[in-house]
Amino acid sequence: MFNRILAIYKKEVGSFFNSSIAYVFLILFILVPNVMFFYFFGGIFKEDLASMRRFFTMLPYVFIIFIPGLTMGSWAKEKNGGTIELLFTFPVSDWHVLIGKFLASLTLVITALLSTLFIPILTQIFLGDFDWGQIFAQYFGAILLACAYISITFFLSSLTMELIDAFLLSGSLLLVLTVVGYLPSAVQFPLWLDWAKQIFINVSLATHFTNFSKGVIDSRDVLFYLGFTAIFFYLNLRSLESRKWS
Amino acid sequence: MISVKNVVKSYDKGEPAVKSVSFEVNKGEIVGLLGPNGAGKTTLMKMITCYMHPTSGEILVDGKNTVDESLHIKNLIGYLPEHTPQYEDMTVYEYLYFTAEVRGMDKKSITESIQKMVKLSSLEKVVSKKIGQLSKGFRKRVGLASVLIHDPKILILDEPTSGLDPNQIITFRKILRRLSEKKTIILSTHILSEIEAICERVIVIKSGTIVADDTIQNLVKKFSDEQYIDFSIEATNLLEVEQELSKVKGAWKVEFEKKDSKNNFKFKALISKNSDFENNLKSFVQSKNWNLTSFERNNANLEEIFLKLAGEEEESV
Repeated sequence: MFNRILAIYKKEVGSFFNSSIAYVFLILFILVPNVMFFYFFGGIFKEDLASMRRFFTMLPYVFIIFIPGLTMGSWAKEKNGGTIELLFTFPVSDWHVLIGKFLASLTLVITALLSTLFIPILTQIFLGDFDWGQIFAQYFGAILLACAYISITFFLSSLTMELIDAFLLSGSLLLVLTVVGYLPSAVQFPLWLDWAKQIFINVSLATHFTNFSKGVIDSRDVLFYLGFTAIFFYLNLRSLESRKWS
Repeated sequence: MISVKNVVKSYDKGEPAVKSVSFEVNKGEIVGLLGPNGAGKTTLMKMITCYMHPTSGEILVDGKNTVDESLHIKNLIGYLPEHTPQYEDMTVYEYLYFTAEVRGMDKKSITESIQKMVKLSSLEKVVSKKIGQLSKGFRKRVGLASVLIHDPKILILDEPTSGLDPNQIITFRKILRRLSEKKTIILSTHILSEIEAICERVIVIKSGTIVADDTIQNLVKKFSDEQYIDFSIEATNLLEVEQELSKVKGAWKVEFEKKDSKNNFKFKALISKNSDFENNLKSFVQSKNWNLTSFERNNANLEEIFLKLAGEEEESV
């Protein structure tokens, strides 16, 4: 069965590159965050510290645009073009198609993330020592964050036939799930609403990334992202299965 | 090979698309599903190919249930959906390679099979072109090559020749006839000549129900007492003639065909052999002061039988 998942995976990666989505994604991902990292928001040079913390703090926001842009077509495009009928009459299960597609999107995000490694490498050579343990934790967290974001956009893409709808729905939900964690620090919550405050902090995709951006791997954060991804995987499968009975 | 038992398929709203349909298709048979748009042919095919499940009833393919053992069944089937959806950004070769790989074929047999399919479907000239650049005819051929690549025992083809020009249709039918020696084929169409040219047996579906299931020869024999009449009436107002003719007793159906000249309108009526329609029509025309300018009786062919069985229906949703 691995070969069939691999076939889906290769088709997906190929379609990213055939339709130039991959090139646009990689170029923008390298340009935008790096320019912001070096020149805006205080920049690395003002900080005078060999750290990528600033870059990783921005990452949950950067992903809000980039990941829906990359994955909005995962199901919506298949539905729109009618190829979903083709896909689900091949001898593969819904689950295998989902895994193949998910891994293809994740590969592209990981490639984009790895392209930013030139920052610590060049800094190490010319400026100063980087803490490579911290760097590992930051990249590891970024991959987990990407898994959660991709699973959300995949699910929302399965609900619609239009790419733009999938993009806007995903972008909106990701924005809410990202900024909700900062609500308690922006708004004064009364004591009796402390439970709501805790919920906001704990469901936020960004607050769970804070430790990773500092270079700390906390098992609670790892479990949060894995659990989040699993829940949206499940919802995605249910949404795909609904075609059989509706 | 395929057994459809009391299958009902309801969508969220409205009446069921398929209502308690049952039929069997034996190994090596070529069966035509015939019916107007919206009759339930595509829904039925989607259920046989495991794309969707019946609301009630069951479908067995090679003795296995489509709900519980879909992977086994999908391995046996080559399915060509109605509008031949394909990945347009892939080249023909990439697409055929993908469809073979996803069916679990190994590298060596993929290469051999692609060569065979390219030859069978005459795709040599376009094999390295992107599918999005191909004409409808070539896309259909690519579709056929992709469903045959794993040498399936069963072929399910939904409107396989729709959108093709006459030459392409002839080529496509030749390929299908060649395949029919080895495979079980179900094809849906609303084109009668297609059924007559390819199929041994026809299942006529109307509003989600089977209204006839027989060989073409048997169907024509069964309806041999049916006749149709071509007649022309000279009158001033077509609308009035059309409305008034519906009052003439003895015909299953009376349809306006064409305008022969300024005031001469040609009609076609389907009747039983013993019907009094001829006399009724003549006296009715006389009473209206019209002229019956031509009148000719013919035996009903498959088209007339189909008209009687299935009639017209609304477009599918």
